[in-house]
Amino acid sequence: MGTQPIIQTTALSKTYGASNDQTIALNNLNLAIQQGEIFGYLGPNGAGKTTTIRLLLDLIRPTDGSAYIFGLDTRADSVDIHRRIGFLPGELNLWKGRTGHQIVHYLATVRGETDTIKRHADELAERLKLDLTKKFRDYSSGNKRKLGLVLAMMHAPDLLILDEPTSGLDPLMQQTFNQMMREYREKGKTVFLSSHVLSEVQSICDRVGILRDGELKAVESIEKLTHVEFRWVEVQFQDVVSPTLCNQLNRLDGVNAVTSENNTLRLQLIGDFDPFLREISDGYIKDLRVQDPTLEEIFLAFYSDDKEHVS
Amino acid sequence: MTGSIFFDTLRQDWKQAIFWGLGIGVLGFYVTFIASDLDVVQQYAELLESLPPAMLNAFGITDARLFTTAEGFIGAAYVTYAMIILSIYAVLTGLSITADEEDNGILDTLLALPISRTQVIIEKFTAYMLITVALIIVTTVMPLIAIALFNVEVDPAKVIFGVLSVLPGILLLIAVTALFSVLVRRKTTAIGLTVVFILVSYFANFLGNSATDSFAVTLQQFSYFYYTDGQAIITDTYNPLTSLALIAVALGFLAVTINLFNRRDIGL
Repeated sequence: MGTQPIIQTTALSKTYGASNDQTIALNNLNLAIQQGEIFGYLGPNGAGKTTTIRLLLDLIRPTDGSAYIFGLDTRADSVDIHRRIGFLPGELNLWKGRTGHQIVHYLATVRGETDTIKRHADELAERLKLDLTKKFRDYSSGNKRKLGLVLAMMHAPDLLILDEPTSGLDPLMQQTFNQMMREYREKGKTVFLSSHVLSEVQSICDRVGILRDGELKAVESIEKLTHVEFRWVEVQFQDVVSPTLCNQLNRLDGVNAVTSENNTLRLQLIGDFDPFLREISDGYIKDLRVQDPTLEEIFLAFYSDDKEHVS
Repeated sequence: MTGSIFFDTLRQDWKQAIFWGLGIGVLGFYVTFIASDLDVVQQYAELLESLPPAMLNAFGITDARLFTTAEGFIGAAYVTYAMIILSIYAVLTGLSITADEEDNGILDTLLALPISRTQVIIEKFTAYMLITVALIIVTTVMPLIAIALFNVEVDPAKVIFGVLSVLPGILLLIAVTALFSVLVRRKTTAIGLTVVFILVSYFANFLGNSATDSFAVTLQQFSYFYYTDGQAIITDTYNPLTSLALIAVALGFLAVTINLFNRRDIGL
């Protein structure tokens, strides 16, 4: 890993609207992304993910703060930065009457290195099973996404900035995409991708940042984030679970979200198992399963102000 | 790479120069054909002379006696109306500089490439300037063909320069539309503002021509129609400096457009 972050933002903020009716799209974002990592930028729609990406690309200007990519100011040195960046917008719109090949050729010409880029674009298209002879208007949403990925990656950039890259891709293509991202990382390149589908991020990202209402709530490694205190416990009894047992468990420290259906009990457990096991020891236990929370649940846990939402 | 947007714009939009040029040129061909019959021209001039001067001014005709010559007829009946039709072309072209691609989200992809906003505007404007020149040339060639075919007794040079004299005004309108697009962001609002600009310019010129000893004459000098008088070539009152001044103003508007575009957010 390099010592200088590939992306660094300091108190980066963006507000919209007049002073008396302002909407805070991004508030005081401090973020450092290192070379060679795949960073997932998570948050629901409207959290500020796209705003961050647009600020990094100098498409919009910050109200406050600064952003640096490769150590260069995103405002003053945007052209130099863009030379080394590949970008996939959340919603890809291009010239409807042009074919994939024509679009690749045009954007490669703007980048100034036509032959190498076009050859690489052909390889990428083949890998993603994309027909570049079709006109943009004839592409399905999934194929538009594939074309966007080809355009973002065709010049082998040092940094990929991808806004919801896998939306519209079928599961098989998602796997291909994941593999491509891993290969990218192996080459020492960096990926910054936004998503609201956490399972996609979980399998490829090294770290994730969780954004809510324009504020970065947490930045954690995937391992650390998934190693949280609570677990789901499912117990199958010989007999039907009594309401009395449920009430007793609800009063127990570290036990939450108790539900029962016939002879199955399900709950969320924080801390040690012993008090919980003692409480249920009167019944005959046929099966007991412990499950780590999914990233979605962790995500919701970050978001919810009370534990009710976690369940 | 420098020039890539310029050449792409030329490649994509050169056909419109032909189509617009041919469309307007057909009008020129027809007007020139009518001008070949001086009797018709004379009768038309007499008819116009019977109309109130204010009404003639409303149609951009400053002197009905111009219609007594073939050159005058071509100048008033073709160049003036070509200018009006080309105004529509200029608005559509002005929108193509940034507004169209910003409106449909393409600009996000384009500006994420190693290219500056200034470069996008300059290369596109330069390409459209060339396309517009080509268009005007086509509109000039059509009446010249009619002159040759029907042996119209006119000085071809006057017709050529008469039609070419609309070019600075068209470039100005393209720049004005681009400026409004960058200023207000919404395409429909930019179109509305440009239409208002055209109408205000037109009526300022018309009022100045009609009320020659009033404040309207001063106001007229702020109208670009005042400086794009196709009949001036015919009447030998054309001053090339006015064309240069219009081009300078157009470039001034373009500089303001670039400045505003560099300072604002894209696509919101």
